[in-house]
Amino acid sequence: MPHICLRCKTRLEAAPGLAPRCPTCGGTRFAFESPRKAEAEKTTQPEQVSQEKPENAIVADCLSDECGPLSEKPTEPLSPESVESIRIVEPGKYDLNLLKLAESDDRVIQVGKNGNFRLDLHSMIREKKKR
Amino acid sequence: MGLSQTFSKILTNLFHKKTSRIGIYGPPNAGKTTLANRIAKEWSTGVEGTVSEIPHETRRALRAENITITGGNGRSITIDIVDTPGVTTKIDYNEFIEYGIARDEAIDRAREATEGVAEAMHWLREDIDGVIYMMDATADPFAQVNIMMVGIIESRHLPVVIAANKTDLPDASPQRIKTAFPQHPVVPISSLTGTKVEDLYEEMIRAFR
Repeated sequence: MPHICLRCKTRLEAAPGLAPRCPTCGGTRFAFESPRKAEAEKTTQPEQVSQEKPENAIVADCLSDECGPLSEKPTEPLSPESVESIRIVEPGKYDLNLLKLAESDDRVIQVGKNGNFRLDLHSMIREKKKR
Repeated sequence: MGLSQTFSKILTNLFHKKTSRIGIYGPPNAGKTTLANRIAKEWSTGVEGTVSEIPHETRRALRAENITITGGNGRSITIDIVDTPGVTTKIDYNEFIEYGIARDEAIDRAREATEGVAEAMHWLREDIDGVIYMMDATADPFAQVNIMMVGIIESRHLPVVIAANKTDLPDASPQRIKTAFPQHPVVPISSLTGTKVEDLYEEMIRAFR
């Protein structure tokens, strides 16, 4: 099955082995490319689209000048050790740190690639829910 | 705790009538809503979610309550099923544009999907008693999101049943998922056609009772 090296974007036709390394750059992280993705364009529009908006939207909009120039170049995935729980790369593009999101409701949001952070103070002082 | 509450708790424990809240988790397009709809249709009333080929169609949790599932030997569980948004580490509005959705709506969808993932992770910490983890049996089970999510579920000591979905497709390989996660029960199913879904119900009764 095809895989793509996340570092140099080399496409490998076969899945990398147990100790996978990209033959081009030696990278160790790969993205699986679904063979059915190409067929996806044939799909139809959904019958119903949810109009519901999140009640407590905490993922802020960001302006393109704040987030840096729009770019097709993919960003590195958020490391589980990163301080931020969500990174807003540009409007409509988000990286999520699942480990951070699973640990607590505290939101540290990185906006763009220039080291700008937003802290959702409300999420940090909110009383923990009791079951 | 009052006397009546204590008595009620004893009765509940005695007759195993506690309602567990079971979350259906997994990456986008694994078939979570199709399964949730099937469970609701077969064991409860009504259909809950909209199924679509477009990823992140479920951007808020959908819940069906008080569903009693009875197994072949007469044992049963009463559960609430929570169909959660697809969990992923990257959300990009271009995914929606590929399906013909306008740019502004695609950006809104991406934001809602991000909120949905954050909410789903919150419930995993506070509101969920067990997990059905859905995987697409035609996709790579070693995807980062699967490894991470199974690890998170294990760290919370939640019982988990892995559903290897889409066995109706020719390139499905449930065995690959069994090899990847030998520490958990893996049930090959097709939530679309209903094939082997009864095996999943039996495993749910075993794991979530």
